[in-house]
Amino acid sequence: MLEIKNLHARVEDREILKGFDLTVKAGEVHAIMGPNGSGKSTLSRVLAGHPGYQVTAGTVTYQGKNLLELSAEARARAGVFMAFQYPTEIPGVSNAYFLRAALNAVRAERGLPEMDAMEFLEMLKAKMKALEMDSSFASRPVNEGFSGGEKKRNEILQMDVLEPSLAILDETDSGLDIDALRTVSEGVNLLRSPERAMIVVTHYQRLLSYIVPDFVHVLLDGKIVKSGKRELALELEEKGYDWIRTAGTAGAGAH
Amino acid sequence: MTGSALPALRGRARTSMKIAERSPHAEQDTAAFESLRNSALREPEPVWLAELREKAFKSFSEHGLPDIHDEEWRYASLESMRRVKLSAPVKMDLPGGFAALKPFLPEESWPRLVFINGIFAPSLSNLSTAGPAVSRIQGKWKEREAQEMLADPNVDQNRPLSALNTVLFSDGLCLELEAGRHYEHPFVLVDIAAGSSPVSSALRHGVKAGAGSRASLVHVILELGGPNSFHNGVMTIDLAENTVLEHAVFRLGPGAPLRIAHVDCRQQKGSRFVSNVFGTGAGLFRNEMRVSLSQPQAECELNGLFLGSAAAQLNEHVRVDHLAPECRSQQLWKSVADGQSRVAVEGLVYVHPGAQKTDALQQIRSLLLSADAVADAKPQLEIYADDVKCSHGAALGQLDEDSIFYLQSRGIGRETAIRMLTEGFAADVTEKFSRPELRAFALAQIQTYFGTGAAGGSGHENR
Repeated sequence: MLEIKNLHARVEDREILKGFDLTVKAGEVHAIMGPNGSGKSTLSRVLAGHPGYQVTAGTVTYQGKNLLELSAEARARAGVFMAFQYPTEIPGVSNAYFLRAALNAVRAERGLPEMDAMEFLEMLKAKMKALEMDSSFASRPVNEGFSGGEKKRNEILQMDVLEPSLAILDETDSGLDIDALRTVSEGVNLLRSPERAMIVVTHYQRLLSYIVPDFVHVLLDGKIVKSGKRELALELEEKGYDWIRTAGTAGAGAH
Repeated sequence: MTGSALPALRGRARTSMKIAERSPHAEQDTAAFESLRNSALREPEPVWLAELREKAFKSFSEHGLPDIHDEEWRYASLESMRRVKLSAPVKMDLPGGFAALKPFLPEESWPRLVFINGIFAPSLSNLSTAGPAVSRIQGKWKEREAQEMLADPNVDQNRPLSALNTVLFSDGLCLELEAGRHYEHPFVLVDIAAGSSPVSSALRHGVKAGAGSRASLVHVILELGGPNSFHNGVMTIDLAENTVLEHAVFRLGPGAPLRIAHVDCRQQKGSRFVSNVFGTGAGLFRNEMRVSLSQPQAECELNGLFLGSAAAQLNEHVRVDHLAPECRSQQLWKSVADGQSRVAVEGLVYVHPGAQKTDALQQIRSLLLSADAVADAKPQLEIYADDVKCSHGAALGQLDEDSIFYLQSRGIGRETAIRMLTEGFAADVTEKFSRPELRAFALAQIQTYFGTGAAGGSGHENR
């Protein structure tokens, strides 16, 4: 589904990704772990098409297409979804209005008819209930005045509505208390399917106790230095990122 | 929206209450309007009115048309007027008839008084349900009430254009609200500018609300004519004790005249005045408001949304006088400037000595959508009482790239994202309309501004 080869990316004058490789198949969940500043969020934003990041080398192939040629909205319509670490507040635009506009843009791409307001609202409220979100969030302005947990839940709600093929969760666990972490993770787990791939970007192991990954990769200074199964995350939790730094790059590209 | 505080703005607080200066063109302006004054055909008028007009003309001649050197007119230019010869309007039909007017009415069934270039248009008006509250200024000149409504010395003070209106006005709405009565349907006043040759029109509207009455008045200003016409209207509003008046102004249409709309509102004890202004279109639109909170516990809420495109000049000029204790004024002005448009909001809150416990808030927010557009904001506070709560603020900014990206990352195209964010920026002003018909009408006008008229209607039900 996704093949990233030798990806180099920079923001302003700083090179952040320095030869990143990753292959993700449908149905797989990959965790990308790394310390602060290793390039985790840059990877997420580059994949989502943020205009502030410049790709200087490498390729990203998504479902056989060159992802890097597509605009952010074209990527979303093609089924790429990023759950933001810091979701943006959009004053004056209701969650329902925003989400229906997004869904209908995605549906148009898939050759599906527009969903009318009534049908949409019914569907939305059912999904909100599953995520333990109060139905009043449908009419509230997008993310405005939401708590950290509510914002993250709202991201997962959007993912649920848009049904992407590839979901990238950018530090979805940051700022969440244990209860919020559990509901958000349960929401994510419900969306796991053989057709859908996920990249879970996180600093801590704890999220991976709830969203159990098939593969774990350690990102250090802009590239993957070690890959393994889920046990690697536990080992990291125990030994810290310094263990990888001192161990050198022996495991790089193992996946 | 990324906001920057005051230093980024072009305007600064300045001393107000400047006397309008005499323009170097005063003689030329006087001559131009002298001939218009003489060409206006009128019924014989009572002595008091003739005297009133004479006095006003003298006052206008002393100043001439305000120009760029005039502190109160820094953001709006009437210069183009001096290059054309304005004539008095003649009676005309609206091309396309009622069908041409219909899209600009928030609700067809509300009682409606329509003027074209300042001349009453009976075939477009609908007064069947209006009741005795609505009449025309013309023909009421023998009544004492009309004299009280029109002969107000404050209206023309230091305002050459108001004085000019007093000289030239031919007709207008007279709305007299019965004490204690709650009017169910809003009254609609429509001022249409039509025709291709440059004309000068002056309507004088008067509203007098009896104690405890409640009503709403929608003023639709519809520009359908050619450029360079000059439409200079004045509305005086008198609110007796405990009245509530909701006032809305919509300035719409493709025409590009010079349009001045004055509102002069006096409020008695416990009265409430809400005015929501929606200004878009071309040419010049200047909405000039003066609100006097003359007795305790009077309150006003003034809101506005200006959507500038192409070369439009949109200008709000507002002054609120707190003359008595325990009064409240709240203002929220938002403007969006695209193309080469220039949108300016100037607001003064003046708290007079003795107006203790004043509660005044004024906010101005501007959004620039184009590098060639200009937005000015000039919030001002002058306070001569010591126990008051007053604040004001202004912010000027552009759409935030991160917000645009957030919407794009969900599949929404960039243009749609910009439109949604701008609508979101404007939303808190459109929500000020208490009637759903007016809210929907305002939203439809925003869609028109973005050129998405037909497609946009759906979706808002979720707001």
